[in-house]
Amino acid sequence: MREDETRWMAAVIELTALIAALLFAWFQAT
Amino acid sequence: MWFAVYAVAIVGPFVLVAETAPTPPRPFVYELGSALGISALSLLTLQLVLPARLKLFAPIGADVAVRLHRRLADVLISVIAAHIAVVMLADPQRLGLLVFFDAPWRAQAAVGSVVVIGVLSATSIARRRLRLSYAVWRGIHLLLAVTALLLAIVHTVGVGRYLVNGIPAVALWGLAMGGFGAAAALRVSRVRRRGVRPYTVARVVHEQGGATTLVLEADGHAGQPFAPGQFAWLKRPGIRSSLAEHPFSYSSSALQPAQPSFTIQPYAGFSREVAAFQPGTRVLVDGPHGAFRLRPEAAGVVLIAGGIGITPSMSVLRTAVDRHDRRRMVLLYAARTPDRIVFRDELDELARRLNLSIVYVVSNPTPDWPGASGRITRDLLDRTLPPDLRGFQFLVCGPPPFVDTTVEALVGLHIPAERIHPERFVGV
Repeated sequence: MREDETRWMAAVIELTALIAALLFAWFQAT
Repeated sequence: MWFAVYAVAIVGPFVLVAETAPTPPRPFVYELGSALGISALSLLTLQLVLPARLKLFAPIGADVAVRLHRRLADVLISVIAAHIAVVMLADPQRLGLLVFFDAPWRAQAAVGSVVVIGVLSATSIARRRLRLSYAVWRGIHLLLAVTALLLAIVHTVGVGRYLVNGIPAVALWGLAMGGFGAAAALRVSRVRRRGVRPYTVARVVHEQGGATTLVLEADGHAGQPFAPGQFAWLKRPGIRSSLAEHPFSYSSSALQPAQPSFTIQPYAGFSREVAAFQPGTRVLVDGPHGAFRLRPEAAGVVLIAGGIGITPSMSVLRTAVDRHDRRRMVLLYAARTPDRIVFRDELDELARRLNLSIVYVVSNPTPDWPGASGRITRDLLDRTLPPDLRGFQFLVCGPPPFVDTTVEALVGLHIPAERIHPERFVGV
């Protein structure tokens, strides 16, 4: 497996964490 | 499958809180501060789980799992930074919480956790400069990681808004168990795990080029089947040395798993000790690990090695001899000086027995050196590789800068990235 693949894996995990946090904050605040 | 675990660990706590624990609404920025804190906690837990060599991550390879762990360290630090920034932005009076001795314990735990993560990153980035041996560094790393997670959980409990009461507390318990459980699995129960087997040093061979080969003999079992190109962790038995384990590539034929060999360049610590091992020394092998495998359908293979990065290539070639493999093979082997070429005589012999051509590239040649000199560049690859490389697999192994420039050169020659398998060696 190429190291480049860890780059997108990390990006997907980061995006998941950020989107989940944003959605949660929006959901809780409204 | 492993990705599902990640998704559950990251999204799960949010779903549990949102679905089951209604709280009086606060402004968005307050909620975002808390939410980033929950994300940071999940990511911190996953950082402990990822390098634990669990079966779950076997499909992506233990080496890839460790590389992902390194990349996610940046993600974790940026999420923690965002958490702190948003929390302070929501209520600037909270800046006072950073004055450690006057702060309540929930804030002290948070500051403590951040400081521990800072030390953890610094000791990882500057391990060599700090002259920390691999074994000592690993011990410190694990201890700090467990401390950081513990303090982060104390902080969460202290803040007491989310993940503390009712059903969402299950998520906090889950994260805690996952993180501490993985740390325990890596350290405490290692010896009893199926992946670890005892071996005895049968022979110690001092190779050309200053490397030492340990030829092992399986002790009371048939050996662990491995694929050429994979690696294992080696350590001495005993509780005191249980932290001192080191990753090395197999250098022997995969068809003789009961007599595996590991060729080691003495850098420091364990790798120097190895050179002094005597026949009869007992060794524990945790392996095999690593996602690189020479695909059976590969039309041919190009091996590109730098320095002691020759070891997985050696395993590929010795296995090819045992299998009477007639596929086209090319080895490009970069060394600093001609006398640093490890296995040179055996390689020349292998070239006669296999459909193999070898190009040695020496960066500091002696006046009488007849071969190529300099470094492995795109131009050199273009001149030496066979014109038709359809279906070939490429294994690149050596120090990280060597691997990076070589992979770049191969990509520049339009070799599809999925056929290039890089292995980065770091001296341990």
